[in-house]
Amino acid sequence: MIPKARWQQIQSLFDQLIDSDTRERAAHLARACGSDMELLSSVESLLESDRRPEDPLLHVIGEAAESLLEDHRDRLIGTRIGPYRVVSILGHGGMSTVYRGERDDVHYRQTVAIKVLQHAALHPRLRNRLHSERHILATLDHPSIARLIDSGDLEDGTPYLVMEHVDGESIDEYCDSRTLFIRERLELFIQVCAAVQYAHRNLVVHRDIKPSNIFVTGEGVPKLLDFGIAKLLAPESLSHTLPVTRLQERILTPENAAPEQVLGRPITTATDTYALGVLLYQLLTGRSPYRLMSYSQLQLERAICMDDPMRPSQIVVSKLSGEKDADRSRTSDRRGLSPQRLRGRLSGDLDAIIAMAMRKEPDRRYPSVEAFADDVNRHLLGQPVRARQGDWRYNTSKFMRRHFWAVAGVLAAFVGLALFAGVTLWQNHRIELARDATAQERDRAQQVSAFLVDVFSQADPFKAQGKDPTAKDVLDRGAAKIMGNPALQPEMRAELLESIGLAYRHQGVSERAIPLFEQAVAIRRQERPLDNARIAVAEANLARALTDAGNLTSAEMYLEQAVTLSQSGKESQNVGTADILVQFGHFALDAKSDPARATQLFSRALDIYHATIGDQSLQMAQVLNGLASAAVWADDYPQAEHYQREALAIFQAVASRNHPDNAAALATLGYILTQRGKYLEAEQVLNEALQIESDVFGIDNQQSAVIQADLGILYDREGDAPRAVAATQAALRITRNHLGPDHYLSGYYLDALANLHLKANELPTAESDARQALAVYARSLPARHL
Amino acid sequence: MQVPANFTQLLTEWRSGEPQALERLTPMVYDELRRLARNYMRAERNSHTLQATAVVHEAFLRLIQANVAPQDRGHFFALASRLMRRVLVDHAKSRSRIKRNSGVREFGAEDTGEVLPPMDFDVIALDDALEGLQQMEPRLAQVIELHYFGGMTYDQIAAAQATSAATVHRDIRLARAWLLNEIGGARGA
Repeated sequence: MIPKARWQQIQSLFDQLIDSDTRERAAHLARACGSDMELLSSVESLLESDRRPEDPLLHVIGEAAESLLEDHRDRLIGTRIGPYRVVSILGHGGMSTVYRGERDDVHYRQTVAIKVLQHAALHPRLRNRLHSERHILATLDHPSIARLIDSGDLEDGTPYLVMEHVDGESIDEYCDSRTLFIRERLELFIQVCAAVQYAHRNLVVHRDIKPSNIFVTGEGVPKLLDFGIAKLLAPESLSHTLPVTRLQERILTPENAAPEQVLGRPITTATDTYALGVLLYQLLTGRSPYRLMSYSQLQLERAICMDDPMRPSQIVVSKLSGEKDADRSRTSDRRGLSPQRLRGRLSGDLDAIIAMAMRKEPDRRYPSVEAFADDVNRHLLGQPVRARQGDWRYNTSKFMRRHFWAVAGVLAAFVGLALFAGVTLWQNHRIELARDATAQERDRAQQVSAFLVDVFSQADPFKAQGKDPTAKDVLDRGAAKIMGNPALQPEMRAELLESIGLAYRHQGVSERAIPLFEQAVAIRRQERPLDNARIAVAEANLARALTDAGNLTSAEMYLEQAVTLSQSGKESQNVGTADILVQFGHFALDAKSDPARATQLFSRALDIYHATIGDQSLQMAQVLNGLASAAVWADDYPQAEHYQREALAIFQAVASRNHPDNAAALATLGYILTQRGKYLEAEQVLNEALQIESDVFGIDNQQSAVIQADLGILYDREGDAPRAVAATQAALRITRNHLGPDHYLSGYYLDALANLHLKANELPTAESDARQALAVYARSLPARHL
Repeated sequence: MQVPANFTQLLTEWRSGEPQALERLTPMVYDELRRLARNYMRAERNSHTLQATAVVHEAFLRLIQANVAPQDRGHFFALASRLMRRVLVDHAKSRSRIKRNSGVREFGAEDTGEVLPPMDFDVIALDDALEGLQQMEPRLAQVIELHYFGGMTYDQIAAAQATSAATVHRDIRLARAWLLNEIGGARGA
């Protein structure tokens, strides 16, 4: 701060000089300041800023006002939700906004937190779920769990939850602002564990434990917010149900997500154990285990599933990119230690405890939160911790070796067969494409096919060892055979590399496909004469694998290159270019979340198809489908409807009625129409889709269950309770037959039924459904976790 | 007049350190802003930002048309402009929290009519710098608050502070120059 006397000097000179002209000013200033150069430069720079022609302050305030006035979230301020007056915004999340609400009563005044689930309104299924879920949540009564008080819908159908308002700071801020020592942090953490344990005994899994969901009151009591709420928003409650949903695409992987959440596998109490491990990591080190090594969501997801996080003791002394030394010492200062002392404090027990809680496989973590808390307590008491007994030297590579194929969702017994069928089909397709090409090309395609058949039909020896061949075995074998055969022609080799790469990709193992595609690209680039179209296709394949692996920057580069190359041939408007543009469009939409760019790319492809193969083609229908998805993404349902109808018209004209694309396109249209409130037509469309599904696959197929459930929601919205119940029951029946009575989806449809009965005031039935649902959920949790 | 009668009373409670008064005041400011914005913002798309500033100023004027004894007006204006600053800064802070937390880009808010390039600092930076000025020269900070957040003219400020409009003008120029240097310096560091 400037001393008072100096400030007065500056002020007086400034006042004297502001209205003088420039020449006079310089002379006067020099005279007045003498040798005091500091004074001279202070006054000079103030006069300089005074000369700015526009008024920046006015604009900055205008920008703030504009953002305030355009912010939809604020619309609720000043309105009423139920008996509560909405007073201000407490916070935002990806899917919801939390408001402070107040209830004025003659006798008392109550402050609550009202969570409004904005995006949930988009999908009625979520709402059904929400309403049945709250019965379970309302039973949680623990001093460290924020109570659920009420719930309901706003006028426009947006659901909200009313919760106990917790006055305090988030746990990480609390620990840092009070410079809590490691011991104090651990003690607080144990209290958090106690609350989670209580919920687990009541069969509720939190699913989204993170610092911002744990508040600590002024009295030092931790309070967990949002218990079980994440379940309502979890991707797997939707992933089996909708062909195109923006919800699915938009749900972000939380930083604290466990591998099973990223992979869409069943969530159990062990998921909370993992998240508590991440929380402890954050409280002790001030950093997130994966955040700093990943830049995109895909990279983050990949790191969660595949990489070992840096050990806590190591990260507190590491210099991470973009970090200053000061950041690091601030972290240790806030724990009352030097960085080196902090490292010493964390290494050993605490490293091992966190590593055990954060193991990739749920069943290798602590068997319960109680066991986790107990180990932390043993450390505090100076007793040997369990995490360092037995085979605690665990690493991810071991996990990868043992479980990767299972993790990738590969069912070993079927893999050999499916893979073989898939590659052969693909090759047949290539042969078909080569119909009009030269005889030489046709021969090569057949040779490739024969080679692959040879590789895959020799998978049997694995069985002799009592094991079914896995995708890894079969594909690795193919790759090895290609690499170890020097006699192969380069073109043939490239072709084969691409085949195997494609098969790896279909098995969800794009990492292995990348080097193969890279080699294929290299070979294509050396071919003489250069075939730009082929190079482009190879690059597009590589880009797809890179996208899967989260390497978006390289993927985008190859896509751009592929588009340019494919246009450099004789004809600049060719179908190959359009195919790559479509891929690029999906990349822009799915990987980059950029619907505007996607729309532009799809539109370019559309123009090319229009000029070359014409409007009545499957390609055209697919690109329109892409445009519809982009419009759904951008909330433009009228436009989405327009595109989807066009797509459907083409599917119906060029494909057979029973084509799976036709059924999927109908289901998507049903979704869009429901969003637009066109219930009558949505019903017709969904029924048609249902009819196709059952004609083609028979009634016992999960896709029909999904459509039935959609119909159930539709009827419910129309107020036709009996049909809503009938449709939902059909969904339940099919799911039980198809996936089994203990599958979580069975529980989920029971939930929906309970909700319908509740609405119809059939309380005993509702209760019985709800109990059954609960029982299903209970069984989907491993018994020893209960 | 839409402004609730207890605005004055709440403002007084807020000054005397009653935190809940702010929670009741904020929705009133929001209401007034939104009511005015509907007319303003719809009309013209160009120079949108300056329109928004005008909305803030008019809302302020309406809010202070409450019944206040002349000798209290100076205090009252100061409080009301402080309140307006709080509302804008709190909102900006909550927005920057969303941007940090969600990683989701928001769509559909493109301003085709925008003619001014965005400023290289925001209201939060201004708020911080103003806090510094407050420490050094409270009078200057208050003049800035009254003029920019309250939209009061030099004459109005002069009348409320029993000084001349020329002095107010000079004060504002000095304060503004100091704030801009401060914000520029903080960013350059």
